[in-house]
Amino acid sequence: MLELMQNFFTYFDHLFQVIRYALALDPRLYEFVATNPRSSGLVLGVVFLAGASVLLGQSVVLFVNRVRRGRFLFSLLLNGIMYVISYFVWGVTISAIGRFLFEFAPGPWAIVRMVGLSTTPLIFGFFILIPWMGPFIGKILNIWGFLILVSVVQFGFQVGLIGALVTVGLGWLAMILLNNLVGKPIAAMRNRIWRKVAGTTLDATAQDLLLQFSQSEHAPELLKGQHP
Amino acid sequence: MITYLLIGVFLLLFVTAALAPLESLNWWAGWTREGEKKGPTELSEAEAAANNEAEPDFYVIYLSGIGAISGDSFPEEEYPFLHGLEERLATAKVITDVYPYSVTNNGLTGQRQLAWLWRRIEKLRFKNPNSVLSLLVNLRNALQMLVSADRRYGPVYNLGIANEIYRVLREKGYRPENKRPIILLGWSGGGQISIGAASYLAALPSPLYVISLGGMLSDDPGLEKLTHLWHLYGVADPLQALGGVLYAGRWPILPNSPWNQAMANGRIDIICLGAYTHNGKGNYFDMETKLPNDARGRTHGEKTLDMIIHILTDQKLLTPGYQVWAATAMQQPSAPGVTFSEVAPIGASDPSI
Repeated sequence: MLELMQNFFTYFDHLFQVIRYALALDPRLYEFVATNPRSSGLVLGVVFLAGASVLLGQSVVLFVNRVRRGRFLFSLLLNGIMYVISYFVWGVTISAIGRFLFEFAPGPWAIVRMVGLSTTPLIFGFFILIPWMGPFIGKILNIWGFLILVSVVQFGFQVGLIGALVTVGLGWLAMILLNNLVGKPIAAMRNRIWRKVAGTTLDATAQDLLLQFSQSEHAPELLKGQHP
Repeated sequence: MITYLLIGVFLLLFVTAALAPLESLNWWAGWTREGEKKGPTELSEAEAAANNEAEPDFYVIYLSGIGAISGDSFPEEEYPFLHGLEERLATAKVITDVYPYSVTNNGLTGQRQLAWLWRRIEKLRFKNPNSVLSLLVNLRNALQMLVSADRRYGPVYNLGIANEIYRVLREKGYRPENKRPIILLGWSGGGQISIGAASYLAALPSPLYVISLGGMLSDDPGLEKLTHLWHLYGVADPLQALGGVLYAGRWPILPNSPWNQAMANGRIDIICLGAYTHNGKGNYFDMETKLPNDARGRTHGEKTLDMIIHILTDQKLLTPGYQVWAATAMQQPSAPGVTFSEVAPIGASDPSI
């Protein structure tokens, strides 16, 4: 029991260190992650936290849809898992393109792990909740993540900035292609899961949902807009 | 050490800001029922039926600025102004007990977990209006104003406020079928919340006007629905000007935004009152500082009141030649036996207005 607790605290201690170094774009961290398969658990933790935090930042749609607290928490968990899956695919894509383009290529899982680090800034995704400046903060976090990704690719394949940008750009095109080829059934399945868990898709706006609620008999009178 | 302290302060500010929308979102999701009052649809039939008194000519709902602690606790300077407004608008009903920074009209000192803190701050502010701690009230309410202006949260927040305004209107005898005009008078943050609530209040059959006093206004979709907006501002008030900077929809490069469309359609009038400040000496409510070179020797607050009367007269809500206080009477607004003088009818040239 004592050992379990010790492992738990050690894990979080390492997780904080990984977050700190990743945010600072520190190559020492990339080396640690690239050469140490045991870092997978830490990267997994980072990506999961980022997914949950981003959803918290964009949770207005869950609130407006009047989800219950249990479902709300479950939605955060689900988004964490979805982030892990989508960044895994993203990591495999970048790894495949890098191996195709460059002579020096580390093991595929090393690249997948390193790509996962690019989600680190999104751990602050819940700041997207901030009124007025939240969406701007979201963009800053995404740019920050992009910079980490470019620097990870530079380090991983031992290439310059241009080479890294080309790899990320091609990766992005490949993801669009994948989305169009096999994305539709996957997106439909994702939306089905979302509807089951949260009762809504994530692209609904507060205005859409209020309009939907205005038809309900429990809607406030002013929302119905029916007056003598 | 100082770096960590600064990081801590910024983090605390960011977390506080991130939590700001949760009060209204929790309310909508039904997670909390903190301080919620009966909704308009739940007012008893007997209560409504018993209210057979003649209705006033129109309703003025005052939504205070970000310094308000509750529906009956405003910064000291606003009271003489509100007394003056009530005295001048004898044929109207002036409603001041809507707290625009809570979707359930629950003042900071109401049923809240932090009510003890706000009560202490209220006491402190009573002793010293410039107390630094009272800035916490401003910060908290400024964040709620931003929630109202945010397109993600505004639809929910403004619905809550509109619902409360409607509930209070009904309590005060408003009957939709009589179509009495409704005027939202919003000061500072209350200006933004007024145009936000207009989105829903416009569903009522009454004409809906908004008068903004130094309001920090966004390009709220509510602008598309209200009958008319007058924005009164002072050239020495940079805070009201922030609205035109912070909200891209108010920039001229977006001609199809609700603000620019309402401007193009002539539904917004922007009126300069002079060298008014947002706070302190020479603000919109200042009943002591005389205006320089004013033909009638009025104070800043008196001119604000005059302008409101002129607007209402122009809309034919007041008859021309409506009685207003003489400048001397404004020194003691609630004093008995005040003298009245006549304001110039609308259309008569008055270079000082």
